[in-house]
Amino acid sequence: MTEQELITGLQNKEEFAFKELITKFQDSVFNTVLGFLQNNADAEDIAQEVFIQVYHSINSFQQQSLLSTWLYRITVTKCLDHLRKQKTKKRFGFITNLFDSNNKVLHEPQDFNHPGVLLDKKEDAKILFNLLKQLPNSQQIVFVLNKIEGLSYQEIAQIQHTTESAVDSLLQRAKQNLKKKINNLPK
Amino acid sequence: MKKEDNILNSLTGLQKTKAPDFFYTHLIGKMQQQFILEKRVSFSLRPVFSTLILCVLIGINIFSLTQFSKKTPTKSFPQTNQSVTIDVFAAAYNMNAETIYE
Repeated sequence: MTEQELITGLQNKEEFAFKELITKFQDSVFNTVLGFLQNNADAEDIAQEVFIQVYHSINSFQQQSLLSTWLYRITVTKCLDHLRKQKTKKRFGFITNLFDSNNKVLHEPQDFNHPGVLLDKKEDAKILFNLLKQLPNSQQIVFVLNKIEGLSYQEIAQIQHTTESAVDSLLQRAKQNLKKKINNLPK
Repeated sequence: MKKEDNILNSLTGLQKTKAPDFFYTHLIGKMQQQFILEKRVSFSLRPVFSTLILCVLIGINIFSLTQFSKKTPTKSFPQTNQSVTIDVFAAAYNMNAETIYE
């Protein structure tokens, strides 16, 4: 199925086209969301929301970019919205219970173990993922899309409506910030 | 320096994760649930339905008010030929008329 056929099928709400879209992009979307959210359950939820959004908004897709570019844009937006809501919940966490009904601590950040990380790098990767959450959104986006999703500067620039040099600059700043945070870690 | 590099390069060779099993099935299930919920909400917001509910509520209120006014007896004070003089008033409060004027 060509991209044009896929888009036409989606606009006509054809189930086959929708299934084709999911088969083609589910891994990319899920991997990207997991890089942002660092939680499997949330990642599945948000990945589903991305495809639901595509289903409802396909008629507003003007085809000025690739379908994948548009899909990544929606993915990034959904991820950032979710992270914003999480931060708001944590901010008001002090007025809710600290423990749930099973006496487990709520609102506690847990170390994220990305399943695709090489075995000998898992501990370092956990630290990196923790620090990644502390980066500004713009730096976090380019880092996740480049280092986790493996997109090129050109692809990221198209997704973010920016230039390749801006992407490069953001990535360099992200690395500098991460280095500073690594140096400030307790020994 | 080495620690920094180790951490920053820890994603080298990262394998992309795959979506969970039955992702499509779960997604379709979620969409169907959302569709059913949207149908229920949109039905209850239809003008005809809302107007009907409003009329029923107004009808119940009118009925309740009419029933309430029927049951409640109107209070009327007994007619007496006796004029209420200051002495009668004073007597009611165990006083005499002079006390009242003081």
